[in-house]
Amino acid sequence: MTTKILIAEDEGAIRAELVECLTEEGYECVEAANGHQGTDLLRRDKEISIVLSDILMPGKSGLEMINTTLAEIDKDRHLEFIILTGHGGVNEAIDALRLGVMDFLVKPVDLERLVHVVRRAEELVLLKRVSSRYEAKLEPEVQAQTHELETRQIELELQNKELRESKIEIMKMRDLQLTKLNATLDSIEEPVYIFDIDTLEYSYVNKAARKFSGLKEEDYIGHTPKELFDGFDIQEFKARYSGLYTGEIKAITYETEHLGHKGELVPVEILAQIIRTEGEPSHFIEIVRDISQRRAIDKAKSEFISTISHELRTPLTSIKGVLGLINADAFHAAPEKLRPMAKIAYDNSNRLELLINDILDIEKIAAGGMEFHLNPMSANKLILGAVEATEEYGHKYGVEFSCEFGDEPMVIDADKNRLMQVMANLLSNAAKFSSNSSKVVVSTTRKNGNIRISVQDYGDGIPVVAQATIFDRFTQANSSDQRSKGGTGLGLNISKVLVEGHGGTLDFVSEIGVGSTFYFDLPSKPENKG
Amino acid sequence: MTALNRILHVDDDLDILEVSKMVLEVVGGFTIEQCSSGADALATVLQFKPELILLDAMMPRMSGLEVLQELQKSPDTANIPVIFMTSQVKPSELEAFTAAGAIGVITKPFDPVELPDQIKDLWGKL
Repeated sequence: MTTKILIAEDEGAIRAELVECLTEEGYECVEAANGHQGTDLLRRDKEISIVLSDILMPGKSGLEMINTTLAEIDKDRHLEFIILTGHGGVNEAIDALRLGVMDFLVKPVDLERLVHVVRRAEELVLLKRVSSRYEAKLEPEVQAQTHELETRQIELELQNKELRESKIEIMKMRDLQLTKLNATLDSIEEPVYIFDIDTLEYSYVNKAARKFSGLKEEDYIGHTPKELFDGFDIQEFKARYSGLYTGEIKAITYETEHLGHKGELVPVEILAQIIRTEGEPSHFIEIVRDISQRRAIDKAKSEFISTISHELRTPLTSIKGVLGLINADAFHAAPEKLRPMAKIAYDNSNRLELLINDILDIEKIAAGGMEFHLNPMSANKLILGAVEATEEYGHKYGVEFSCEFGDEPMVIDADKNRLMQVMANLLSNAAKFSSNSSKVVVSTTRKNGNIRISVQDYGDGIPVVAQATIFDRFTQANSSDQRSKGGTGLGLNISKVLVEGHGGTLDFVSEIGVGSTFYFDLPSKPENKG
Repeated sequence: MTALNRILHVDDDLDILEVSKMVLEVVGGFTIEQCSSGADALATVLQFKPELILLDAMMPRMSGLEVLQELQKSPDTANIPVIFMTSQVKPSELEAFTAAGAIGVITKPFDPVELPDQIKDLWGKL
């Protein structure tokens, strides 16, 4: 379609020149000699899309015409205005540009520039038309999307409101729970402390904790144990709690002493663990138990057992003495038939003595009162002593002890009496459970920088079902062994603890019909110290 | 070192005294004098003039250690070797006896056949 241009110019010659030029360029031109005619044409002819207008015209100026047209124009009609101005008409040109005029040309008009400006106006009109079409096409879609967005916005606002209400509800519940939790923790009779795992600042202490120390809540909150208690050792704390920090262990229990409200040191047992809450700093919770009473009971128990064992030993001394004399036929007067009976009675008095000794040891172990006095010594020498002391016992079972070790002394750190006790137990066990006329081999070897002491028998071996509990108290592989072989069933349990007291571990290998080997490894010491 | 002969045995348990007397006289071949209390022992020691004293550690009124301390105060008795007989078995307790000046400790219940030899061994180490 040919672009139609209105040329409004009161000077006929100029108008004719413009019409000619633009017609040659393929445009259709309509003419107006003033603003009124121009306005009239623009109202009637909707195909006009470009207006080329002089500013000063009789009756109605070009700018008035443009003003009137812009006020009346439909929004879907696209018009571009170009004005013609004389020299010095800059102010009018600026006014025109403010009105929305696309460009202006200065008279006398440069026709080449005229064509160029008109082409741009034509392109602009075209672009606006295309844009309008798109806008018209997109509008329903935009409206639909706008509607959807508005709906979604309303929904979101509703959801937001619900969330806010729910959050308030949660906070209320949390407050309630916290109040309940505090009330619960306050009702606990044992002190409870909650503090930050990094800063160690207290965030909560219960009533019992405040009563225990005599401090107030404000003395604790925001303060660290180091600030409150002189003896608090941060390094020791970090070392003790390291497993909790790394997450390797979930809880620790240990015994220590805490300062009471009278300034006294109170023995306590502490259970500590970490509370991890998502999005919040982690805390330690410590529950502290006063164990003064427990300690007193333990002490009383320990004293009771000690007294009882002493009281048992006194009559046993007379019984064993008399039976020993009869058994040894010290007076050469025991009737023949009485001797086996005297032997049974004497053996059982020995067994009773062992049982009392073992019970005392077990009590000492339980009370943590087993003392170890470690000194460097030759393992081989110690074994020879133990073998010598047990040799006669071995003969009762027709067993010979054989030592297999070289010339080097194999120096270990040991409590001689305790290790002799272990060896006596292992050797007597080996003898008891050996086949008649067999031997028991005692050896020392080097193993991974340690010295391994082994006692090997050629007995029946330990049944698999009994192996798991062989180190438990009052255990023997066969329950009838306790009577037929003697022994208390405490020996291996005690020996295991005694070996552990030396930093070693007692273990064994056993095969039915082949025999058993009990062994333990102790750290080797440089030989020049032995 | 001359052979041991005269032993004063002090114990508050009369049965133990009786059994020990048999053991020490019949098996050990010693000459025995016995007392059932610390005070009695302190009174007897000067008359009997023992070469060795077997002293029970736990006795009422005067313990074995207290008897030893009294013996050590007098030049006439301070050098008489003392062996404690005790039902206590803790190493620290046993060490306390030797630290106080005893030449040895024999734990109860003792083996009657071995008792004379145990005493002779300790005597021989003097």
